[in-house]
Amino acid sequence: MKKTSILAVLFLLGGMATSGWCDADREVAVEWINICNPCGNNDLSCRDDVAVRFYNILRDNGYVGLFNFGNSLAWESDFKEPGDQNWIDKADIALHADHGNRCRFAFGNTTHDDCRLWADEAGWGNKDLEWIIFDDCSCVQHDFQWTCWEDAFRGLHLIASFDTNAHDMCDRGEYFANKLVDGWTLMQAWFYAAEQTEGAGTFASVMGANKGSISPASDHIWGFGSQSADPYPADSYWCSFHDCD
Amino acid sequence: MQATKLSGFFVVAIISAFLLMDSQAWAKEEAVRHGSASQPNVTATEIKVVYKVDLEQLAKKLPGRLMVYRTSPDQGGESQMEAVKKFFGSESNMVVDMQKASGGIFAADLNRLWARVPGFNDEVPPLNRKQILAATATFLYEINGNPQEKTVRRFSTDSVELTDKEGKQKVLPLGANITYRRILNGYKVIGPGGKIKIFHDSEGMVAGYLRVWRSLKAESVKPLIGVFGARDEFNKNPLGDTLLADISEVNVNNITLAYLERGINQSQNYLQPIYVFDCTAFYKGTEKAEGTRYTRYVAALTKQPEPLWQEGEEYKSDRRRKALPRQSSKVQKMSDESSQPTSPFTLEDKDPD
Repeated sequence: MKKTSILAVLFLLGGMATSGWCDADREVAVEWINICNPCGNNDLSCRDDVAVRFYNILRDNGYVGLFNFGNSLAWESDFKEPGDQNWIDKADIALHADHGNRCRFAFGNTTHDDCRLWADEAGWGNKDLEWIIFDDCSCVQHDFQWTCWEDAFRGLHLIASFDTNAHDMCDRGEYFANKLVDGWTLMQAWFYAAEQTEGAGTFASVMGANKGSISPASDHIWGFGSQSADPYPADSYWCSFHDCD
Repeated sequence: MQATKLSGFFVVAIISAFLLMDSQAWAKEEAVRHGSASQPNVTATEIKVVYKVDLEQLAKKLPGRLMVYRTSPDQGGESQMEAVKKFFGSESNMVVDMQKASGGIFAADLNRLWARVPGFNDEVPPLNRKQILAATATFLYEINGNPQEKTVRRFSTDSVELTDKEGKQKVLPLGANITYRRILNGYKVIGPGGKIKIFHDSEGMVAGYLRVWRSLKAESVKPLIGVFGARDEFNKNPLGDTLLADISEVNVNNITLAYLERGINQSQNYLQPIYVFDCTAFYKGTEKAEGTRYTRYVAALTKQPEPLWQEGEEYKSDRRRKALPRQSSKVQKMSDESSQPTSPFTLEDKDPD
């Protein structure tokens, strides 16, 4: 009887290890593009810094890095249904760093599948993703233009991005990640990171979905505070804006 | 038989652990930097630049030389620390950060600063500007934080836009900000630094404080590249380091001079003048000719003592895999839901890596 119990425990441990249960339950993924010209935008220099510092800080704090894809290895198809379920939607928190504009963000690879991820191509959270950051310009804009992202919320809690233009600042990802692991909410950490890296004319934005009384507005990332349940199917949406000047 | 089974399970466990380690090591080692050679070398689309400002007039108006300043970390922030802590009180969820690079200070009550998003049906009274200005004055008096130099003060608001089930829309206040900016030789100090900012929640209470106010010492008067030199620099790359995509045309509405101060955690040795291009960018391929306002900074000195911003480092990306190594599990996450946010109180620099 005793031996059987030991075997059961060992079997359980083996299974946990192979499934990644022990440490793989908090996952981060990033994609960044410094070489932007293949998709018609000017090249940048800090996109890797933003994404990889963010990635490394979360990994240093118990997160498993699912992937860190840069330049031509960052693909639009990773963000798009149904392929996203094997990539971005497999992480808990993900960050994209390149250029953006109203209801879309850009890539540097023209073939997987194309150069822009448009809001109506996104559906996140039906696998795992809770939070996504677009460190790109103007993706989530005021005057209710942010509503273009509503259909992307299929279990997703929050999108953090910019209402206006923003700049290619190297240290935003690390400021953001440091505050997340200090136990700040995602909205507080994002507004703080934007405040410390931007100036006049920049507004940061955070968009969320609600389901009845379930609201992720005060979400912390896994392991560093509380979270709401998945607000799906959502019945209302909101978007908050912070003036960085 | 039992012993064989036992050793079999150990083998499974060891192999599993190896696979876990290996997948991480693989990701780190098999790195590809900055893309592959298979990408076409197409240059970014050319952007048309239209000047809506009279450059000749501007060239006559703006100076050809301007003072450059040596900077050192602010000593004023440290002396305010105790007063800031006292103001927020021991019952608040207070954080106080001081950064050695700038001597800057950031303090906040996390129960108030960007802490709550009102619901669609919540009644939130409009922000009371007088009350907010009075609260700011009291706060700055109590921490002895009033700027001693010439400044401009700006009032701005944070907001939240909401939609309900029927698609009705509403805008509610999230908070307000009072920002003091330094004025040097008649020109504003801009950027993520050079500001004293007091954050208020939607009730008008002081919720946070930021001071990035490096000490300055006049270095010497230096020649500038001039308006036409700035124009030439701008035209080489009209969007500069902004992250705007799909722009076909840029209108330059105005060009001004300013000083640029870096953010709280960046070292900076010189405060140098810049040309600030106030622009409107227009998208390509969209029906609406809507514009997005943005600012582009161009270094103004003929010889810069240091770059405007700290430069980045080289980072590697992972090699692509056909599939990710593991499934995630919700089981352990659920246990986290009962955990409480930590309440950090740190006075030290944070080293990210």
